[in-house]
Amino acid sequence: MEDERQLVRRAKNGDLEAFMVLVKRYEKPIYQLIYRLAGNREDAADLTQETMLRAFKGLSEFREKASFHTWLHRIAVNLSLNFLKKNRLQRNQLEYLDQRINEDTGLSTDMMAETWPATEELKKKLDEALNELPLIYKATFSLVVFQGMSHREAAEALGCSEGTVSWRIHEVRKMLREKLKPFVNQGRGN
Amino acid sequence: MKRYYLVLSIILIFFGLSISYMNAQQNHPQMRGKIRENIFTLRALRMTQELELTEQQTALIFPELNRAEKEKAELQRNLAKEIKELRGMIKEEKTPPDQYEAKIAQINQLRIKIREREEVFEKFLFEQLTPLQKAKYIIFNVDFNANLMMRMRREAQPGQKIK
Amino acid sequence: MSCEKYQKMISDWLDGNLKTGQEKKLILHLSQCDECQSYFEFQRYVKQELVGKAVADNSEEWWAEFEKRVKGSIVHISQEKEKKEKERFWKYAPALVGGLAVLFVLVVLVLRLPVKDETEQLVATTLSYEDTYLGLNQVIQKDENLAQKIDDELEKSITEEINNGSLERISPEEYNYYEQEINEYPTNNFHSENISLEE
Repeated sequence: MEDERQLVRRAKNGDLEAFMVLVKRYEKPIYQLIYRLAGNREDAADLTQETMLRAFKGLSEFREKASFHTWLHRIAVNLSLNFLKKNRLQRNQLEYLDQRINEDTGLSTDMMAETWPATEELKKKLDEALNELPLIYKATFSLVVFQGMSHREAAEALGCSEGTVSWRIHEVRKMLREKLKPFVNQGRGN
Repeated sequence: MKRYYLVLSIILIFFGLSISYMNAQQNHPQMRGKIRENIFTLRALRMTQELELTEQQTALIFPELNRAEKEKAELQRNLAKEIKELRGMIKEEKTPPDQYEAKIAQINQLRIKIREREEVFEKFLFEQLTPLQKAKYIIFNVDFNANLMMRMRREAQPGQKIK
Repeated sequence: MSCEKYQKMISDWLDGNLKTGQEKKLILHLSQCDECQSYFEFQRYVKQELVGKAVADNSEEWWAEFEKRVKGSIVHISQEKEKKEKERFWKYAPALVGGLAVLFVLVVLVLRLPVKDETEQLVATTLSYEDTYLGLNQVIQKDENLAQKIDDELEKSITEEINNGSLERISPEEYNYYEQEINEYPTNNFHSENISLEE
């Protein structure tokens, strides 16, 4: 595996093959990320392609010392969020929080301290819950949990502070917990 | 070889000037003519030393230096005369204003001519010198003038008023 | 600290974002708080479940097509860029050449011109010898003794100057040669007849 810095430098100098190596390296994770945000294959494919082309065009401005990985993700996130804002209705943060607060779980605490067997139901509900997230939360969570970025890298990709990323992830996790509590109980059979 | 030209120039100076003086009136102020001549000689000698003029430079510069000196010397003599007359005019309180104006204009003219002749020579001189020599010339000039003033102060006896 | 805050710490811990020193605190709390322990396990499960989870897989052929499309686009972009750069070059080249020519001319002028200006200004910047002489002359005019003294001293200096520099003596033949030259030295471009020594 060629060192990424070298590949980027070569691509900057006009080496198209070097850039295609980078494309091959990142196409799947970027596609995954965008898919989680966009929710459908066609948009994900288009946006992934657009991400790669934007990256190619912007190579001259890309500073070699920065992380290509983070930079590329940033392009992907920006493109996706802009596209999705234009193309569908969005739940804003307040609505999301209100909904969370109003949920009534009705569980007692003494049933908590047990392990979680995986069930198909639970997994399905997990996906649903994630899908319902406001875009920016989805993007943040995707970058950290799915793409494995650190809070700092995700902050760079999103153009916000590290604290904001930490807070958003925490909120998502709390929300997931609230939403999935009933299904966790179901899963905890004997 | 440089020294040959140096001697040559000194001889030229002495002879050149002495020829002109032979035509001049023998007068008490001959001594003062000699002062000018001596200052000039000393200046020429010092300049050659300070600027480290080459033979070629000396051969080119000294004739022009001589010519300039003769012309300026005469102008200075005339200027001195005019100034003396002006002093007289001031003493003599009856002098009409337009005479003052005329005298002042004459003096001014002479001063301008002297300055212009000096400039012409220095311009010519600078075309023959290297940048270092030009720089040395400026310093030499300033120092030599200061040296003249010092001589005067030193020779003046205590009690002798020099304003 | 409230459980809310510990739950935030759990979130950070799972992402490798917990500050050192906080970890021990968290572990201690988890050993004492069932709710937080439960929360922690749930979140750990979610993370395990989700990390690396592919939501939409595409076939290798699909990806090959995708790469082909991307390659085609970047080739096109590259060609367009080259074309634009060439156009830009030809657009600005004449202006650039013109600009350089003007600059060159200016530089030449700037470098050449001051040569004369400098010398013309020179006398203005150096103290005029003739002005100094004028002043000196005015003083010694009035005082014969002083004039004599200065004259004597000047002659002394001249002699010193000549003797100082290890002057080579000239031979009689050379002296004769020079004498000839001296006699022919032009003195007639100057009104010598009318010199008044009255200063």
